[in-house]
Amino acid sequence: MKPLKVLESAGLGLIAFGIVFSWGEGALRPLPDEIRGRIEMVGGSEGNLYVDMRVKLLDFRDQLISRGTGYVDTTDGRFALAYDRGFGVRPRKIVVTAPGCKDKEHTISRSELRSGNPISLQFRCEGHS
Amino acid sequence: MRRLALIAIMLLLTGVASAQGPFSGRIKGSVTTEVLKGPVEGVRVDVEVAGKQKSAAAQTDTAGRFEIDLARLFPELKLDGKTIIFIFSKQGYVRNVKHWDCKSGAPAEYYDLKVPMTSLVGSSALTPDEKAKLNRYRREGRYLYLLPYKITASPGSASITNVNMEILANALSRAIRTHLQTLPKASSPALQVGILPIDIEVAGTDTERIRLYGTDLKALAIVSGDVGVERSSSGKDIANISSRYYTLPSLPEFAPTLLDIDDTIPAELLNSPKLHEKLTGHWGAYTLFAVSLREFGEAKAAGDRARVERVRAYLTDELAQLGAEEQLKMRDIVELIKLIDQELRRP
Repeated sequence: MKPLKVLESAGLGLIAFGIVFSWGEGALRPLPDEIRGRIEMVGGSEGNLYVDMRVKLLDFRDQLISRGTGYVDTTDGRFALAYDRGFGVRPRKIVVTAPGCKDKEHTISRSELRSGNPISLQFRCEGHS
Repeated sequence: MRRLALIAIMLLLTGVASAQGPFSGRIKGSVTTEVLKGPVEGVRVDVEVAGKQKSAAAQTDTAGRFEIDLARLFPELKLDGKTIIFIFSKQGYVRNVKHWDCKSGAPAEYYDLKVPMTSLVGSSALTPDEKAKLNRYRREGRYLYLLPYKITASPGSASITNVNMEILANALSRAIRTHLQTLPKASSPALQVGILPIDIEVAGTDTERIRLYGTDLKALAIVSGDVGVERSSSGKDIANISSRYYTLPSLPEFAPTLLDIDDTIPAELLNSPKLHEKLTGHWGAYTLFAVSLREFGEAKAAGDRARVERVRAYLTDELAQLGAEEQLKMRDIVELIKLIDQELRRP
């Protein structure tokens, strides 16, 4: 067997193992079906920005996967995003929008997603998007 | 012996766990204004769980209270561990969103969801012009202040454009006094109550502003309302008087109460000195409630136990006279008696 062939087989094997591992992990330890967190306002802003703020959840193709209104708690900025845990569905980004402010994107790391702990985000209103 | 102790501890722990039980899904709460903590009626409550929404799941009553049975709204969902999102909205107010985490082992019923709503109508402070107007009407003592009633007439009925507010105030005053006379004098607190019409225009929906006026005037209560004149099936014009009665207790433990009183009378009596004969005893009863609140507050501040006991005895008599149809008022009186009992239990 040529060395290149061996490397190719090993590489393919690793990819296959990775896919099987992630399937197995997904089956044994499913991702949470709700992503929670809290948005902390930084910098001065007039009025309560939480009132018109919305959050949404996107997958790796930037497709919307969260359901519901995406309203945040108007007192403390907490949010909860529910989505359907279908095959191959993995939340990738949280997008925070507020009128008159630039959208804020947060990429969710694998460990953040797996832990199920609330995600802390900081939001600064940086003018129109 | 050690084994028995272990079994006892385990039984105790099992008992504690089962006593907490799963969340029943029943939520009760109240919506108040942000500044004066007055109840907000007619607030729509939408609920969202796991991305599923139920619009208008509840609406607040005149006391600003609401009740939601989540298990009935979302029978397909397991609520434990979910975030429940409540969206409170009403025209003229800033939308309020509350997130509540439903944890396993949470109380079987959650009663205490307090929601403040910020009014978009008017600012929280009185303008110098408003203060100057209010100063003209300011009186020492216990006064009910009567805002001008709005009059509307349905097509075909007689149009009564000007209701003499002086006549209305006098009629109410006489009706209240008539009611007070029926009460046992020995237990009743001092009941010198004046009624004064004030000529200030304010939107009936701006309840926060009306309370600000009342607070500034140190009023016992502020009364606003409207009158709809219509022709009855017998061809006579009748006036449906809807009044709103805002009590303004000085007690931080007792939220201001909003009470609705409806009276139907022949329309020609609106400008007649005989008006008081047709007004019901409700006015007197609500005034007594307002007086009791104020009386208790003052007695508590003065540390006068005998006076507190007099208020309690007085309210108990009042409660005994109420019918089942007056549940709202009964509930307020019961709450006040509970508050008085707490005070009386103190050494």
